[in-house]
Amino acid sequence: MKKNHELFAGLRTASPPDDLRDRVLDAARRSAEERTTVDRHEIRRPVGIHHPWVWRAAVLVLLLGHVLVSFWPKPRTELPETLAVRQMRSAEQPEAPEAVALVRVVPLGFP
Amino acid sequence: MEPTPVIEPLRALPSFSKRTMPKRSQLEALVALANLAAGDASALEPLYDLFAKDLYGLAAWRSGSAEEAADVVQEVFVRLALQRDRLLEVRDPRAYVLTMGHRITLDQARKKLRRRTVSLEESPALDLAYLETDTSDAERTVDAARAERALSRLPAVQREAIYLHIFLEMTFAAVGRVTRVSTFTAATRVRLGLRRLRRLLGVERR
Repeated sequence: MKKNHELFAGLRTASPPDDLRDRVLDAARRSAEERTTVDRHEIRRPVGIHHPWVWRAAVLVLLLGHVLVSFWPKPRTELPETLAVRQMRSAEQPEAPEAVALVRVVPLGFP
Repeated sequence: MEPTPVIEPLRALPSFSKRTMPKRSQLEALVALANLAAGDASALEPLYDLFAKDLYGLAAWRSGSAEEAADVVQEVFVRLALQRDRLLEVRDPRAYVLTMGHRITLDQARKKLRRRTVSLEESPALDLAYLETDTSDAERTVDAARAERALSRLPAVQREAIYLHIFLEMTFAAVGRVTRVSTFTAATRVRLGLRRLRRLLGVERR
């Protein structure tokens, strides 16, 4: 019959090993130093490219291509002066006049 | 250029952690975080002295491995050194550091599962690191060994909640905040974990 806290009475949780302090602090300090030497712009720039001239040339080619496409005279396609519109007829059937004759409907008992 | 230590005006200290962490320690931690944010790397030392034991315990109880727990502590301090911009906004340093430790432990467990080298359930049995035993006292040594065996049979989430609640004396709300679950879920994990532990140890509740 024990209370919750008494389940672990006399027991301690494991402590970190003694050499961990130096290891952790060294690693953290090194990270802090690296962080101060590399700023955000440095991270975004592709520093991994070994040939910076290739990168610059690629940007130049893209810019030139954009300029060429934007300002190169485009060939004009001539529109015909008149457009022939085909008349559509409904199978050339004559209209049936009977079909449209009006029929007056008078209710019963109405004068 | 020499970094200038900055002491952030102290905000109202949160109440949920004062139960175990004295205000003086909280103050020291806040000052150390502010100095670290200002670029003073020597502020890492007081932070280590204040939090390393709790962090190590949390990671060990979650993962069951002393080696992994040491890696978690290292990773937390590396991240603290790298993410200095956010440190001035920290209101409860202990909860902040423990939450970070909790997340890193989870990440490690997920990586391990991805590599499929060992399952989460197997790992605690390989390298138990929950409790320290006092070898001069034979009875306690037996108790600790039994408790460790029983603990290794609990789910990791329950073990972690028990550690935070029993050993760090955190409230259920604080446990929930650290482990990113609701207060109710945290309380349930503690209750179910303790009930199972009692069954495994063969002890009754008074």
